Amino acid sequence: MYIGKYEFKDQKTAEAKIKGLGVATDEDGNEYPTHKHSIVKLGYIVLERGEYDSEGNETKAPVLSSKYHLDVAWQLEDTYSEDGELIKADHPYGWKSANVELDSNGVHSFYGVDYLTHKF
Amino acid sequence: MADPTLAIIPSGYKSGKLYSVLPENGDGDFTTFTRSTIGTRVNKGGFIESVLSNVPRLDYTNGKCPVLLLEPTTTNLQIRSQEFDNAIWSKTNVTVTANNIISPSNELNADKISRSSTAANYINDILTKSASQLEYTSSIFVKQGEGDYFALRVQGNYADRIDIRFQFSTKSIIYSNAASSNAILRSTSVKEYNNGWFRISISYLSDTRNLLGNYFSARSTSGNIDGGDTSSTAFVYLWGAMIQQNTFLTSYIETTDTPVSKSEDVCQDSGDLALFNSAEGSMFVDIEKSIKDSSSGRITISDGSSNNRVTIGKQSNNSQFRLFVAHTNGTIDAQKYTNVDFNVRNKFIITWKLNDFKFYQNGSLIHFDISGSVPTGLNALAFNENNLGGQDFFGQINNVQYYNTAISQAEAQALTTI
Repeated sequence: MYIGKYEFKDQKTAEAKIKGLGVATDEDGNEYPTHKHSIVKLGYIVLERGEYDSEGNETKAPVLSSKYHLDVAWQLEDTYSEDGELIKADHPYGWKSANVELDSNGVHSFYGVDYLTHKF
Repeated sequence: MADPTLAIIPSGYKSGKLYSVLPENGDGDFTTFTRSTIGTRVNKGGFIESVLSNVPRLDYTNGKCPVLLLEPTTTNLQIRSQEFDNAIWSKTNVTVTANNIISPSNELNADKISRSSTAANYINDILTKSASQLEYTSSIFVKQGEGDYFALRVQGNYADRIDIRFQFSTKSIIYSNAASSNAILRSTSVKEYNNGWFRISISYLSDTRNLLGNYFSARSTSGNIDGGDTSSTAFVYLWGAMIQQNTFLTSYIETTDTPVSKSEDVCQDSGDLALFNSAEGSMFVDIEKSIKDSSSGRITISDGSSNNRVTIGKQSNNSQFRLFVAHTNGTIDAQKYTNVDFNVRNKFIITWKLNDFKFYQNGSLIHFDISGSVPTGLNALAFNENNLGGQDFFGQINNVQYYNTAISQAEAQALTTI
């Protein structure tokens, strides 16, 4: 398994990229994913938390990212060539350019899975 | 009545595998079980514990017999979920004593939340959200200290607050109110755990404000979190706050400094071509609870495609199940949509043979069809649409059985009677 962190210019772009991983339509017309990756839509993440008084009124606005963010736990494994050469798994086609490299887990984690040891 | 050919009663497992009870040679084992993250379950002792990735979760929440817990990917948005002394939790006339009592995880890490005044009194956190109406489920574990009441509030705009009051002596929610129609209360639930702990949840559609606050208050009299109380010493113990952006409650996910996601459970690859008799058979499922997610989750014996299959599954409207048999290129031989209460135990059977299809639900024959072909090449049982993934079924599974004959009506009704 690999973990990838991604940012897109907007939600529409991110949704299109997710759809590109594979969807099918059930008998009632509902779309559902055909892949087994875990995708978490973080959205426009909070870069700095807001501050609020005891009644919930905002005293300092949160600072949000201008990009739409996704975290993905990819069900991808390394493989070997016929010559026994290790072929490391990589971002699916079209995702690498949206990848964000972090030196920590960032603003979201997968339960018990460290990003730094599972990133591409 | 003959023994089933294949029986899955959640009992034996190891990483990546769920054992069947029958057949004893292992041909019915689910040989694929994946979940890429840790999850939690209630263990045999009644305590919440972590389960490693790819290990099936046999959950004892409901008592002595475990269920197979299958859940979708879910995220706990509430950071510091069991650290109420942390600065992210705002305290109004509240004192927090950290790690004061044994929690539902059987560790000394539950916090004491005490009133320090008869005036408005609460502990809360506020998360940032998009400025649109979104479905949420908030939950928390609470144990009685001093005082009979515990008040919760979820709130965007103050005018759109939703209040809940829980009474320990009756173990029930005695009051719920949405102050406006801009935020909608969907449902509440109370589940009792070991040692006097309760998990209280509230599902709701938020208002459009770009923040969401969750508030908690110990009380000796019935009232809301910001109402006065006769006591200035009432207290409760809290542990495990969780906010999910969906309409249903799932197993607890611990957080520290970030939101944390648990990946979905995938369970498939039980049986093979030799085990299943495509020409005639019976498929039985006993479901303790079905999760009301947005999907059409299926439990299926198939040929590894959507062409030939026997399927029992939920509809995305979360009020119906659909039972059907399909053959060749997916042609439906017989099917039935039936109303189902997802929150209670349900049992279903499909029996099939040439020109003879019968569907049963909770002891009743709900549909039959006297014409139709049978599927061919059935070779796998899976908790999804065709053993390839997609339309995964999520819920709590008591029992799944397959018989290589179409059992009689009397047998089917006896087997499905609750």
